[in-house]
Order: sequence, then structure tokens, then C-alpha cells
Amino acid sequence: MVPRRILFTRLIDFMASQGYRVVDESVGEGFIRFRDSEREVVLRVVEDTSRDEVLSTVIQAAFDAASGKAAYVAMPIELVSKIGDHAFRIHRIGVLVYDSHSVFELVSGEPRGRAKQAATISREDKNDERFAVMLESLSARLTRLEEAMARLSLLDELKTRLDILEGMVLSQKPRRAVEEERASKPTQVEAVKEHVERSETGGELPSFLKDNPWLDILSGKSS
Amino acid sequence: MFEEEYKRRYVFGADYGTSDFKYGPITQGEKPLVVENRGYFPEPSIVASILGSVREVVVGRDVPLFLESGADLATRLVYPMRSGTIAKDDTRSWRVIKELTLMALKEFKPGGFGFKGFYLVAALSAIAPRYMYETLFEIYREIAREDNLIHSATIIPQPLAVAIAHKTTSCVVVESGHGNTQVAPISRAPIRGAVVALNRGGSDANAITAEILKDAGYGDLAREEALVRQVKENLGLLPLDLDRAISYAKSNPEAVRAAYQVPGTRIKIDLGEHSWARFLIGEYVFDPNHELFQSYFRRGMPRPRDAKVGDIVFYGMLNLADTIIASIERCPVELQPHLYGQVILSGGNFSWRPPEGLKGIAVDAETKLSHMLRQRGVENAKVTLSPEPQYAVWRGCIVFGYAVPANYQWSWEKMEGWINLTKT
Repeated sequence: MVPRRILFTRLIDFMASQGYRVVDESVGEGFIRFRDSEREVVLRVVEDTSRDEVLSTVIQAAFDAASGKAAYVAMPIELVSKIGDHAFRIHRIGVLVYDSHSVFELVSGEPRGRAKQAATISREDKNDERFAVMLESLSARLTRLEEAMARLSLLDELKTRLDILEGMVLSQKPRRAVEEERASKPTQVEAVKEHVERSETGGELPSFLKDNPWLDILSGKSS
Repeated sequence: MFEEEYKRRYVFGADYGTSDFKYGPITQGEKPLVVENRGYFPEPSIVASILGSVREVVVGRDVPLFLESGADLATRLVYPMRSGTIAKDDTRSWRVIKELTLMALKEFKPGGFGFKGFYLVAALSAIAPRYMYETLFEIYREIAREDNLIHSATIIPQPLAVAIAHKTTSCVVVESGHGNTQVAPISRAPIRGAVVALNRGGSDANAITAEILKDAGYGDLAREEALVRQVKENLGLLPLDLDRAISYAKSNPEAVRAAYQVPGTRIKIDLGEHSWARFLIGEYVFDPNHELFQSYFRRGMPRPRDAKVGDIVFYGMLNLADTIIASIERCPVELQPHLYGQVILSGGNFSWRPPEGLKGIAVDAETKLSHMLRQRGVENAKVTLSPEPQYAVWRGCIVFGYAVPANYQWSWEKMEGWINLTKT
């Protein structure tokens, strides 16, 4: 087993190599506090591999992480091989592993608030991007719709004008001429028959309409 | 001609039958959609109001989802056309008719531009009084005002629609519904003064079936209307001659004996020694005057009574052949042979299937009616059964709406034409 003072020195050296400086340490209570330009890191050291010690250290590290600091736990390699690193990764608690010769980082610790913030920012960026695409598509569709509406309004306008002109012409024509013109147009009965025949060839109409003698009778009705 | 082209795309048929409501536009093809002609008035509940699903009346396919158990179910479930007519002040029935119509039109409302409402052709019973036409037009006016779903509307009698669907211009249509039967002669138009109605329909055949079930020891099942109807349809027989059929059944009991297994249950109905009574079910629809029926009347089965609705008398006990003769004899003599030459039977009450082993004893409706008419001296009658009676009225509505010109205005004198509802 590595003496505690030597272990602390190795851990401080390792963290210094990562850009952190010591702000506080307690060999007796088993923690070292570091800082860099952005954040504070609390490293708690496990030496005794008993269940109580491990549990107590991990709970304290979880509190550190919850308070927005970067939390680390330093553990002997034999303990890590027993308990694994999955829970630490999920809860974003960093893990430093040591043996009699060296220290290395198994899991990187990151303050919870910062991770959440980063994720939120990334999600917001993605949402903004999606909304921009949707807006662009909607705007294009709206433009096409406006163009179609304009064309329809024009058609309505033309039809109204045509109705007015037709009314004017009919009111000016002598009655006989109008009657002659009407006679030359296909009658309602002929129009219905023609429509049925046309539809029959196109196969659109239901069978009960085809060859139905009522079409003649009904289409000849007039007020 | 623009209006005509438009009309031919948006003709919509609505057949308000006694049991079912058949509806759909011309584009629906050969068959309409069918829902039960009924509405349910659910009890207002706090849960429904919290969930925002308060509905005064529910119609169509949603009805089973709202049905609650309880003694007042019968009063909350309304079948507006059960008797073929709706009383003027029966606001709940009219409400159901409005909801059904709205549901049907909304289901087919096209999207996009250019839709100005349907040309709606509705069909009512031939004996519907004038106030029913007025009330229905008022409902259509409200729908046109509120939802722009109707451009113009018209109403035609159901027998006319049946004749149109059968491509027959001179005929007599016998339309039998749940509560009554109408005999309507047609010659290029309905001959309104010659319509004769019977106060007898499918419900009366159900009543005699229930009595037969009681006699055979199935009194508990006789109270369930749906089951009684199944028994009628599966065990009921139509005799060519009732006396001969009963005498045959009594000397050959095993040939007439039949059992009916109710699908999906353990219930099996075996009429046993009462199997001869199967012939009474069909006979009662055609002629309830045989002395055998008297014993049922004496035991409490209601006798079909004469009734008067509007100007029409509904005969209770007149047999079907005499009813047809009475109706045809109100028409010009010259026309009568053409009418006898084409008698069309329409409605589920005429779907009698004679079993193979009882040929000549049990018959179909066409054979029975031809036989009855022959007994009364009508030799040249040609009776046909509508092949798809449930769709014939809707088909007639579509043809009518398709062919009648859009500018043919409604006349209360002729009772035909379009009422333009876009101008109201």
C-alpha cells in the first residue's frame, strides 16, 4: 500500500499536469481542492476498500457534483476492477485510479450544471436550425398559395364580366333571335344523355345511371 | 351549363329509412354508407365537461361508445323514423335527423376551392305528411346557413326512388319498413292519390315470433328484440297456402322441425312440436286474417289497428294483395295492366327463403303475392323482388339529383324541384 502522504503528492502532481492548482487539502479527511481558470475540482481519496468508506466517499462526491463543482474520486485499481465505472460515468463523477507506481484518469469529471447547459445550448441550436428550415418551406408554400389565389380571383373576375356581358347581349337581342339561339343549343335532355355517354366511355358513372329511362323523363322537367 | 356540370359532381343522396340511414355522394359508386337511423342523448356528466366532450346528441358510429347501462336507456336512444313519420313537435327526433345529416355531409365535404355545397336529394316515406317536408327543408336551411354544406335540396318519396333505381317508369312499389308498408303506384311520377298504406311492418312479424317463442318455452328470450328478429329471419317461413302448410307440418313434423343456434352463445332454440308455427310468421306479414291469429289476439298480442296520419289512413288488417288491388284501382283503367305488370317488392320483410325440402309448401315473396293476386282474379301480375333493397332508394336519389335541371324550382303543388339554399 502506498503511504498516504506520497499518494497525495502523486495525485497533486497528476492534477497539476492537467492544469489545476491546489487551493486546499486535508490528508486527514482525505480530500484535495483544486482550481483552474474556470472551475473548482474536489478530489476525494479512497484508501480503505471497505463498503462503508467507499459509500461515504461516493456520496460526498455526489454532493460536490450536485453543487456545481467537478467531483473526482481517487481509488485503488483493485477496487475499480470490483465495482466498475458505469455508475460514475452516469453521474458524471470523475475517477482517478492509482496503484503503487502511477495515477491515471479513468472517467473525466464535469460539473453537472455545465454539462446540462452545454446540452441545452446544443439542443436549442438544433431547434433553431429546424425552425429556420420549416419557416423557409412555409414561406415558399405561402408564396405559391398567394399566386394561386391571385389566379383564381382573376378567373372569378372574368366570369363575372362574362355574365354581365351575356346579360347585356341577351337584353338587346330581339326575342325571336334569342329563341332561335336557344333552339340551336343542345336541350337539357340531350346534355344529360351526352354526359352519360361520355362518362360511360370514361367508366366514371355507377351502373344504375346507365341506360336508365328516367334520365329522359327527369332531365326534361322545367318550372 | 356550368351549374349543371357542378351539380353532377356534387349530387348527394340521403335515405332516411325506418332502421338505417343510407347516405353518400354520386362519387360513392354503387353502394352508399349505412349507419343506424338513431341518436343517443347522453346524460350530462362532470367528467365529460372536464374533458371537453359534452355532446347533446350522438349519432352514427359513435353511438355504441356513449351507450350507458341503465333503465332510462330506452328513453335516451331515439329511433326517429321507426314508424315512417315524425310528429311535428318531436324535437328530439328532428334533432337526430339534423345531426345525422350534418355528419353525413361533413364526411364527404371536399377540400380545396370551388365547392359551393351539395345538391342534396332526400327520400322520405310516401306517407310523410307535408309538415315533414317543411321541417326537413328548415333543417337543411340551417345547415346551409351555418356550414355552407348544401347548395340546393329536394325531397322525393322513397317508392319513386325505388322505381328510378330499377329503371322502371310504370310500376307499383311495395315498400315495407319496421312499422308500416306503403303501396305506391308510379307512372313517370308518383300517383299520390293512389298511395295505400298498411299499419303493419317488420315489427308485427317480430310480435308474432315472440308469441311463438313463448309457447315453445322460450319466454325469457322473447323479451329481447334483437334475438326475436334473428329467430324470425332464420326460422320464419312463408307458406303458399297456410292451411295446407299446417296440415303438412302436422303430418310430417320432422320435415318442418328446425333449431337455431344463436351465434357466439350456448343458446339453441328448438321449436319442437311447435315448429308448424314457423309458417305463421310469414303469413302474418301478408295476411293477418286467418282464424289462427285470433287466439294470439285474445291472449294479448296487439291487433294491427287502422290509424290516420295526416290525410293517409293506415289499414291494420287488410291483406297485401287487396291493398295492391285497392291502390291500382285508384289509377286510370288504361294504366292498370302496366302497373300489375311490374310490382316491385322492396324491404327486408320480403326476404323469405324456402328450404329445399319444403318446395311448394314454403315459398318466396314473389310466388306468394302472385298466388294471392291470382286467387283474386289478377292473372297477368309480374312480381319482382328488389335485388338489393337496402340501397335502391339511395340510388334513385342519385339519379334524380343527377338528371333534374338545377333551375327546376321547388313547387309545393307538384311536391318536386330544387330549393336553392344559397340565397337564404
